Amino acid sequence: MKQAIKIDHISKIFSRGFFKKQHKLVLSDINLEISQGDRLVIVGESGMGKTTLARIMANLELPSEGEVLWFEKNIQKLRGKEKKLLRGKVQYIHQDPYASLHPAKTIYKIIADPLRNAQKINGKEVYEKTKQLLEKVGLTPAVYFFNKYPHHLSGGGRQRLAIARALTTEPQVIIADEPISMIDMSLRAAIIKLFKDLNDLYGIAVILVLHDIGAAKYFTYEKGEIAVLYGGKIVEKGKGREVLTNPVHPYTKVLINSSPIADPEIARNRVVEQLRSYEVPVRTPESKGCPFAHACNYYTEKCLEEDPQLIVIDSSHEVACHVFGK
Amino acid sequence: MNPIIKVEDLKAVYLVREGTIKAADRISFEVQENSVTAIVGESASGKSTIIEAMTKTLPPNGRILSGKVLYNGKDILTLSNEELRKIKWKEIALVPQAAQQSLNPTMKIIDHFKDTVEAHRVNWNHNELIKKASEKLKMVRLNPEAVLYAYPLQLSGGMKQRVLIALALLLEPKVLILDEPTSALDVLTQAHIIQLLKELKKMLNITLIFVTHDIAVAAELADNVAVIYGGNLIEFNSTFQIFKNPLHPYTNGLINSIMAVNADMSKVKPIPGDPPSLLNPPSGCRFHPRCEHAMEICKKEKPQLIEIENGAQVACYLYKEGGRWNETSDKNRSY
Repeated sequence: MKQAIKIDHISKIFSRGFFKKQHKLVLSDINLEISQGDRLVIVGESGMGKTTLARIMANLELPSEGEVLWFEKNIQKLRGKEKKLLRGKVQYIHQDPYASLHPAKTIYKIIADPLRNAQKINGKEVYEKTKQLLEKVGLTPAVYFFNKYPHHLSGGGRQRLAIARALTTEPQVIIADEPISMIDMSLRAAIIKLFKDLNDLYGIAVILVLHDIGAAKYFTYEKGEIAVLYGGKIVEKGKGREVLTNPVHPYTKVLINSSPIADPEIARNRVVEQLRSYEVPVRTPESKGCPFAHACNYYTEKCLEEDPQLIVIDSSHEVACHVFGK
Repeated sequence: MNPIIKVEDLKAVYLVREGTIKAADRISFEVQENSVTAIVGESASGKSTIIEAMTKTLPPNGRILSGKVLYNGKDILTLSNEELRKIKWKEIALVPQAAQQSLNPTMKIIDHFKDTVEAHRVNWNHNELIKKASEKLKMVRLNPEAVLYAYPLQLSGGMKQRVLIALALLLEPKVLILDEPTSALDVLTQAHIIQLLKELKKMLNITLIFVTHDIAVAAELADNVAVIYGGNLIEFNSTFQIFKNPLHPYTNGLINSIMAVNADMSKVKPIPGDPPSLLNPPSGCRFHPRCEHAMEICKKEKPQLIEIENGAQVACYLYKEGGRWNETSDKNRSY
């Protein structure tokens, strides 16, 4: 399959201070690739660099090192018309649908304005397309919503509207940052289902950033890859089903083991492994060793000294660990 | 077992410019001594209102219209502030929602403990206070020397949550009420707090009541679950029964929509529609616009909470006292 987005040896350093500059390594040496029409999930806890990674993939942030390729072209080197053409092919959906929609615009305008701009259409065509788009994301009957404002919708409805707005440019890739974290429990599955449908029916490649392992499993159940992020590094990646059923890295294992289980019998009898530390690691460009070593129960001398690289352990499964990655 | 807290017909509203928000509508349930009760509902379903009304900590625009909250036979809602002060924290303690913002950023942790003790008229000297505070902090697995003299900004989210639990335990309450103890925390920290609450429950023999939007958290911790939808209590049952045999269509839908790691993903089924607005709630049963079993009667009249068996209670027209209506034999069923 043709590649949609590829990031090649990406690093990101945030600096602050004037006289005494402090550097923080947020992402280090990340390689990731998604084919057209595929699914990808990036999981991890807060402070692990998930959002920065998603923003770099969407070209909203520049990497300190490395290249971002969109459809096999280096997006940073493109200029003018060519860049504008590609820009619409990749769309980014923000985390908080309560903040990302214009409160004083009607729902019709929220969709119709970018539609006119992106597709250079007007009049009756805009009306028809707006209607189609709202129905595509499940806001039916569309006409009923035209003159309403975002505050009339629930969190799930707003997120659907944000998705409809992202679809106005007819993208081939959608990147969504924590699309369900601000949404009610009973509506979460429906939003993930919508992303699955967009992928299945229209062949749009979908990249989701999630912290909910259950949702990640639901999304990648049929197909798609998963990348587990810890301390700005990918510690494990592979086919979603494979990684979540046979996790190898100790962090992935703990993450899966700690997620709530909706079955009182299993939930009460399982033993959750306690980590040595629950602090988020702060890394600088000088840091060495595995970022997880300070919390890991299985660390060795080597883990403190040497940064583990991703090793292929199965055709579709890679892991970065000195102890288990064999 | 006897009920330590009994809520009867509690009705609370919020006054806003557009009208009244009917956040808790005739809620009745019992909490047994030494049990763990979870109140589960979506955001803005009125679940926090229930415990805020129970402890008389509603925001200024909240009003309790009717109802009783009996604690060991005494009605908390009719007590004066001075009498309430004797019960609060010494017998019933509340851990508020949004632990991240509940601590005063300009005060050290030790001063929070001091404040609490002074506000509740307990005469401890400084050494005694430090001893008791350290004891409680150790209970929640924090290092007292490091935490007591720190400012809240020096602590992580999970640590702040644990400090608040330690603070609530300071005067050794019999009932601990927690509002969303695990939301806004990461997966690992959440598992850690749940583990901690389980241990505290065993160690101290206290009664826990907690509010959560995540029904999976209730599965790990609770003995009984109360499901709230649109300001109404729609189902009350033991945790095992709730998950094995959910009665109300909403509870059933909620359990089917959970994307848990161990779940069969081909069976995950979202609930259609949106949660109701409490400003203009739907007529009749508040779940009827989203319910696949909705009948004519559901649109007109609100179902009452009825007892099915073994203490299971449900508010739904699919059930009669003692069991489910039989579709074929009960053709002329009356409600």
